[in-house]
Amino acid sequence: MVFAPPFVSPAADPAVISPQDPTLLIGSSLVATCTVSPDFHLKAEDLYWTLNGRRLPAASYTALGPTTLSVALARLNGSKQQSGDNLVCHSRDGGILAGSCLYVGLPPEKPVNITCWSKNMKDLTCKWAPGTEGETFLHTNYTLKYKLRWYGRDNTCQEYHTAGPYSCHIPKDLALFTPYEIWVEASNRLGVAVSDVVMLDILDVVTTDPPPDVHVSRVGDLEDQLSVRWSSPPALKDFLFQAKYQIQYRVEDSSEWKVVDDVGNQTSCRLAGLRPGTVYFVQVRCNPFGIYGSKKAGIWSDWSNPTAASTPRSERAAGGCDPKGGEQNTTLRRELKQFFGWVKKHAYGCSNLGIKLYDQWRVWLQKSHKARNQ
Amino acid sequence: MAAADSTSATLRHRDLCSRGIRLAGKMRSDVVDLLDTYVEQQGLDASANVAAVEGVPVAAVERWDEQTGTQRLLENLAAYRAFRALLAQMLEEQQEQLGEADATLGRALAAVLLQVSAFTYHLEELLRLEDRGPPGEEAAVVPEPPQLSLFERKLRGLGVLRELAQWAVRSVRDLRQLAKAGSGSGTAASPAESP
Repeated sequence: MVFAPPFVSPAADPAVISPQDPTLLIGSSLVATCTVSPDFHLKAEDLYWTLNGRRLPAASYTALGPTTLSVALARLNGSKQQSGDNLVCHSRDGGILAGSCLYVGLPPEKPVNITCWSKNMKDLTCKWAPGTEGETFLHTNYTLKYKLRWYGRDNTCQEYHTAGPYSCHIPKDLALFTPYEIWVEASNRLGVAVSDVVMLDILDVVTTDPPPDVHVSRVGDLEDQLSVRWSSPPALKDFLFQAKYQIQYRVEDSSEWKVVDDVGNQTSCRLAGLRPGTVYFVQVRCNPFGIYGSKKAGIWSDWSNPTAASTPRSERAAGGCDPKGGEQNTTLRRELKQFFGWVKKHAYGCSNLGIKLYDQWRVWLQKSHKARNQ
Repeated sequence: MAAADSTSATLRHRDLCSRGIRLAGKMRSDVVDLLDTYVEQQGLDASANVAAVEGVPVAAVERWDEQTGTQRLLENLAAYRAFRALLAQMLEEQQEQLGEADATLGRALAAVLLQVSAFTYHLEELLRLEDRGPPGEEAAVVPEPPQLSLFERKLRGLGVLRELAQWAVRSVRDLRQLAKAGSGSGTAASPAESP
């Protein structure tokens, strides 16, 4: 083993590769040379080349002198690793005499799809997508820049990868009521590409924390319903804004969420049509919009942490009764007939006719059942 | 009173040794994983023959079983102080070259650097239990490496991690010997084991 790395003593380099650590475009060709130091008594025919550990065929070698061997590489592919391909000159016994890193790739593409959001109007996070070619084989550095339109100076975002690989977070010192110009610069060893400039007003991209204090509770003995209550996000309580909410819920043993998106700006809602005696997980999210009169649609917050509650057990199910379809229909018809009779007696006009009225009737029905059973 | 102090010092010594052994064992396993990641990300051959690298303490030692406890601690301390500096340098170079994009390798390097720092502190604590205490840091200053090509840096990193993995094994053995020898100060360990 002859290898004595050059960094042990630079004066004693066993060999030198030229070019050292070059950057090349995909598809280009390269001729590299390995020249052995006379102190090591090695000849060109004692040498061979590897690229990423694979021996290169002798047909691609040329002895350029007694101690210099070249290798020709044609139509280079993109680098196998971003740290560069390893082109290594070896002595006959496999020892490493010298190495050179090849960086083969493409210049970056213009970053696209810049989207930004501000949590509670205090910060700004932006995401983008790399150019359409995507992989450039070379490490590409992305820099998000921003400035106040008209009179600002360029600022550079500092906190990257906060919301995924292509993202940056500006934590403070943001101005309201003046639009920002935002763009992303991509650079690698082969060049620089700048995205289109996005213009945005912080007020138009506000999102908030998920609604706090989400409570889920039963609605009396109603076995197919749960009541959900929550508070509006406190961070925005001092700002003029409207909010709309969404609820999603699922049963314990399913991963499929059902979304209720007609909640509007209420901070409570009743979920109906649920399975009796079942545990449900419920989450709520908020969309603040119209902050200080902004005309843009708001951005949905994250979902609140799931809150669980169970519906009451069905008395019939608990009794082990499992009526067949026909029997169910008969029961339903009978109940509906009973319900409409009750409506005639208790409801005045049609304005109140709705699910709440139906619930009232069922509470009344259960009470009368209980009274009868006692 | 003196007997109580001596018992407490012995207990502390034993505790530091056993915790040190666990720490070195974990470090060894993490460095081996890190080596796999490093070799893959740098496109190197895991079996590449890399000669001794300047500034990297060599784990191989002759007449290991004749060493005194203090000698073991001092050699370990000097080695881990050097590794701390070398790993910090590797981490810096890694971030400089690949930014945060290569997060897996960067995180693993940072985690091992933290373990090395913790183990260094552990060794210093053990030396404090001896009469002399740990030597000053200035003795462990790693010389500035010469300007290296990128390929040479890759190989140096491989050399550093390989040697650190060997050191972790040696340290486990060293601390076991120290634990066996009680307070360990100035006495040669039993020649039953060799590294």
